[in-house]
Amino acid sequence: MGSWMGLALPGLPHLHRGKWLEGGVLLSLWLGLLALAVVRFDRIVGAFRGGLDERIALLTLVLVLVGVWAWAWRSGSGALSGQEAGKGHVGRPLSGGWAAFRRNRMALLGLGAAVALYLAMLLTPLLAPFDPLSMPAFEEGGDLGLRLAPPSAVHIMGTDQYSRDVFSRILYGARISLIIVLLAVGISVALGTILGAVAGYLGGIPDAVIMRLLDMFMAFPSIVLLLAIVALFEPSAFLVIAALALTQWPYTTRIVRGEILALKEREFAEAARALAFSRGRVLFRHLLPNAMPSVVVVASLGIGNTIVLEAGLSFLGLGVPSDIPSWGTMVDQGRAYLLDSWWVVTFPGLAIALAVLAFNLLGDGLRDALDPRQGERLAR
Amino acid sequence: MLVYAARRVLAAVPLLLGVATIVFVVLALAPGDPASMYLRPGMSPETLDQIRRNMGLDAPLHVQYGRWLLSFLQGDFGQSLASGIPVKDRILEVLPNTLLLAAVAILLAFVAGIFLGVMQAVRQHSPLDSVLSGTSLFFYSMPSFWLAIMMVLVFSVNAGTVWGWPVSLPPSGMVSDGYDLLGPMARVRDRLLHLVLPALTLTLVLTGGIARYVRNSMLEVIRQDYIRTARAKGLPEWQVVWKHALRNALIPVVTLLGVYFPLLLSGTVFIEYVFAWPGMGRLMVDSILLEDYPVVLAGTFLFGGMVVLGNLLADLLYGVVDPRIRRGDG
Amino acid sequence: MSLLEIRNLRSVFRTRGEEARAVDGVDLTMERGEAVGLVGESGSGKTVLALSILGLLSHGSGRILPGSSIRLRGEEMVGMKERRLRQIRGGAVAMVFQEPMTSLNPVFTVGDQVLEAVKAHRAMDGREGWAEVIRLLREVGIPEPEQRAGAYPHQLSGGMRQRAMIAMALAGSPALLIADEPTSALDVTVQAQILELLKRLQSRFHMALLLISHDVGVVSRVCQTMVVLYAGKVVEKGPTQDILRSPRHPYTRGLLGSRLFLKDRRRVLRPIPGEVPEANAWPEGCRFHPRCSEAWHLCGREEPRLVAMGLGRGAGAREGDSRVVGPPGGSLSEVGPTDRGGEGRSRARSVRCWLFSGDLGEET
Repeated sequence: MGSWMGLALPGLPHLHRGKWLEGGVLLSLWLGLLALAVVRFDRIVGAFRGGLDERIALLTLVLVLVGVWAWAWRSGSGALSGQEAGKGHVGRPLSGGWAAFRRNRMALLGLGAAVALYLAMLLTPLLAPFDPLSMPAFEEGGDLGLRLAPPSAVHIMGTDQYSRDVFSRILYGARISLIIVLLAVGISVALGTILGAVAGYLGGIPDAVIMRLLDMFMAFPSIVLLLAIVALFEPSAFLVIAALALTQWPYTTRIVRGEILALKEREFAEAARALAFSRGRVLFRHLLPNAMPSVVVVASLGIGNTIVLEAGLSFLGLGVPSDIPSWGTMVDQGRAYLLDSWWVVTFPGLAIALAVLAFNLLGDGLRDALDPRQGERLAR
Repeated sequence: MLVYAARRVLAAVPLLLGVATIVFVVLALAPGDPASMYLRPGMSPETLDQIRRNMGLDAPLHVQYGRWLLSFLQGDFGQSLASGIPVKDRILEVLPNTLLLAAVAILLAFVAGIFLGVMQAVRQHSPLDSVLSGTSLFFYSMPSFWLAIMMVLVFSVNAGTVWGWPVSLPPSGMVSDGYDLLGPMARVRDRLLHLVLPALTLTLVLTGGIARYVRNSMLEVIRQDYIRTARAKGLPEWQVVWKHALRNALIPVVTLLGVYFPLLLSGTVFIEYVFAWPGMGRLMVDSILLEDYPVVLAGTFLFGGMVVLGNLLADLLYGVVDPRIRRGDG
Repeated sequence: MSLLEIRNLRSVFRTRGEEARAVDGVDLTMERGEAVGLVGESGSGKTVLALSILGLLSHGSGRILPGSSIRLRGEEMVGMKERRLRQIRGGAVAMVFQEPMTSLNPVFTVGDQVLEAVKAHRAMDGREGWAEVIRLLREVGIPEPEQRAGAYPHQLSGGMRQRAMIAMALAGSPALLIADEPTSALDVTVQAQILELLKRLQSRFHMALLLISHDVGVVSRVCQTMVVLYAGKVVEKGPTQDILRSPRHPYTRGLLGSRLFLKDRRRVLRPIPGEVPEANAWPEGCRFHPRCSEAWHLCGREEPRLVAMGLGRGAGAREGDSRVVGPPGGSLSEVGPTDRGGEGRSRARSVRCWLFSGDLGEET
C-alpha cells in the first residue's frame, strides 16, 4: 500500500493520485501547522501555564493536526468507507446537496475561507506575531519611528499610530467581531425559526400577528434601528448582540414560514397527520427538519450581513466596548491617518470584506445545492 | 389600477403606525424615563417634575402612547436638546440632501445594474459573466464605510492628473468653503463635484446586487415562449433582448426597488458620515454622540417611514409596469 | 424548384447537459400551396424539426449538424447569415406555436405585437401599419379588431390569442406557415374553428402549411400529405387518405389504433405500449422495435431504410411499380424522395419498415 507515505505526510498520496484539491489542502494544512508549531514553540511551551486562551489555541492546534492526519489516513488508504458513509445519508435533507455543493468551486472557496477564519480565530494566540496591545514606541527607550510603519517583513501589514502591529490586531479583532456575530446570528436564527414555524404551521391569528410585526421590523433600515437601540440603552456586549439579533430575525422567519407553508401541503405531512401524531410532533419531527436547508442558507448569508452591521456599529464608535478593538473600530481609528498611512485603514476593512465574501459565497453555494426550488428551476 | 393603488395606500397606513409604535416601545423600554433626557446638571427635582408633567409623563402609558403617536404623525417631534430648535426644522433642513444623494445613487445603480445584468444574462457562462459576477459579489460584500474611505484614498488623497484632467475630487461636504463667492455656473460645478464621490460610492454598493438580480430574472425570461415568438417574427436580437425580454425581466426588479430601500438608506447613513454630507444619516449619528434623543427618535421614525413610502412607491410602480395589475383584473 | 427541400437534416438539442439527436436524418419536400401534416408522439422531434427550419435552434441551446441541408426556394438556410435568416423568419416562413397562453408577450398589447411583425417585414409608417394590423386581425376572425388590438394577451380567450398569433404570422405574407400543435392547448370546439381558419387561409393565400400535431385526426382534416415521425426519423409518408386507409408502418398503425372512433364502437382502442425513448438513448436497429408488436430478431439489429413503394390506390402515385422489400443487404435500392423531380413528388408513398413495404394492397 502506498498509504504509509500518508502517515508521514498527509496529502502526499492524494497528490500522487491526482487528487490535487484534497491533497493540496491536507498537505498545506499539515505543513503550515507544523511550521507554526516550530516557529511559536516558545509560546506552545508557555501555553501550559498560560491562560485559557492559549490553552484553547494549543488544543485546537493538536486537534487539527490529529484531524488532518486521520482524514488523510481514512481517505488515503483507499477505503471506500467514505463513499459508503455518504450513501447512508441519502434521504436526509441536508446531505443530498453535498455533491452539488462540491461541484461549485466558488462555494468550496467560501467554505474553505470560513473554516480558515474559524481556525484562525481559535489559533490567534499562536498565530499573531505580536501582542495586539503592546506599543514598543512608547516603552522605555522606544523608537517613535515605529509608529505608522509601512508594511514590511516584520510587520506584514504595518503598524498603527501607537506602533501596534496591524496584522496581530486584525487577528485579535476577528475574535471580537466573529464571536459577537455568531452569537447574534445564533439567537436570531433560533428566534426566527420558531416564530416562522409557528406562523406557518398555525396560520390564522398567530400568523397575522407575527407577520405584521415582521413587516414593522423590516421597515427599518437595520443600522438605523441598531443605532436607536444602542443610543438609548446602556452600551454593553449583551445589548449589541441582542440588538443585532433583533434586526435579523425577520429574514429567517420569512423563509421558514414559507417553507412550512409549502411543506404542510405535501404528502408526508398529510401522512403524519393521518397517523394522528400530535401537532408538535408533526411540526418538529416532520416539517422543521425539512425546512433546515433553507435555514442553513439564510444563516450563512445572515452571518455576512451581520459582520457588516457589527463592523458598522463599531466604526461609528457604538459597538462593543473592549480593550481589543473589533475590525470596525480599527477602520474608524485608522481613518485619521489616511493621508499618509493607507495600510492602517485598508487591511482591517479588507478583512471585513473578505470575511463577508466568504460567507456570501458559502451561502450562495448552499442555496444552489440545497434549495429544491432552485434545483427544479435549473432542471427545467 | 385605482382600486389597486388605494388598497396599497391603505395597507401602508397601519405599517406607518407600527413603525411609530416600535419607536415608542424602544423609548418606553429604555432605562430612565424620557424626561431624564432633559436632565442637566444643577436642575432641581421640581423642574424635572415640571418637565415630566409638561411631557405628559404622569399620564398612564396608553394615554402617553396615544398622544405621542398623534404628535409624531403630525410631524411634531419636540425640540432638539442640542440646538433648541424644533426637531422638525432640523430634519427638513437635511432631508433634501439625503434624498438627493439617494435618488442619484439609486438611479445610477439601477441603470448600471440593469445594463450589467442583461449583458451577463445574454452571455451566460462566458468569461465576462464570471468576472462581473465575482466583482459584483465582492462589492456587495464590502462594508460601505470602508468602500467610502477607499474611494477617498484613491480619488481624493492619491489623486493627480490623468491626461491633463484633474481627477482629485472633494472628499467631504456638499460645497467648498468659498461657495458663496462663486458665480452661478461655478456653484453648480462645485455642487456636482462634491456629489460625485458619495453618489458613486453608494452606487457601487448597490449595483452588484441589482446586477445579480437582473441577471437571474433575465435568464428566467429568456427561456419563455414569447421570446421564441419574438425571434420567429424576425425581430433583430437587440430588440428581442432589450425590449421583449428586459421589459418582462424588469417586473420583478421593481419589487427589488422596494427591497433595496432599507439597504439604500443604511448606505446613506455610513456614506454621509464618512463624506460629511449634511443629511439625515449624518444628523442621526451626530445626535447620538450629542445624546440628542428627540432627534434620534424622530430620525429613526423617519427612516422607517421612508422605507414604508419607498415600498409603497415600488408597489405602485409594479402596477404600472405589469399590465395584468394595471387593468385591475390580474 | 420546390418551395422547401430538407435533406438529411440532423439536429441536436441540449437537455440536462447532454446533446440529444432529436432529429436524425429527415428528408422532406414541400411544394407551394401544399399542406403537409407532421405526425408523431411528443418527443419524436417534431418541434425541433420546425425550429430547425426557422434557424431558431441555436437560441435554445441546440444546433443543426453539418451535412444537413434546408433549401427554401433553392436558397440554402443552414449556415445562413443571421441577417438574411431574420428576413425569412416571419417573412417567407412564419410560425404559430402551441401555447397561445405563453407565446404572446404579456406586457405588450396584441396590436403592438402584430404591428411589430408587420414593421419587421414591410416598409410601412405608423398609420398604414396599424391599418394593416386591424386588417390582419379581421382576417383571422377576431371580432371588433379595433378594440381587441388594444387588449393585453391575458384579456383574451385562448382561441382569440391563437387567432392573434396567426395574424402575427400572416403579417409577412409567408409562403410557408409552420403551425406547431396550434390547437392542442385549446378547447375542442375552438380547435375546429382554428383548423378551419388555417385551412381557409392556406387556400386563400396559396400558402404552404406544415401542420405539426400528435393528432392524426387534426392532420387528416387539413393536409393532403402526411409525414409520420418517430424518434427523429421519418417512418412513413404519403398522401393522407392513403395512409389512413392502409397504414404500412406498425407505428403508424399504432397511432391510428390509438384514436377513438365514435362511429365504430366495436373497434377496440389499441394504444402503443410504452413511450418514445429519450433522444439521447435511441435503441439499436429500428427505433420502434422495443414497442413494436410485430418485431422480429432483425429489427433489433439493423435499421430499415426509407423506401418508396407503389400505391395501389393511385392517389398521386408516381412510382407505380410495386416492390417487395427484403432485409437490408439485399439488392434493393433506396428510393427516397430525392429521386426525379416534378410536381407531387412529395406525395409519393414511402415507409421505413421491411415488413410492410410491399404494395400488396391487403392487410391482415
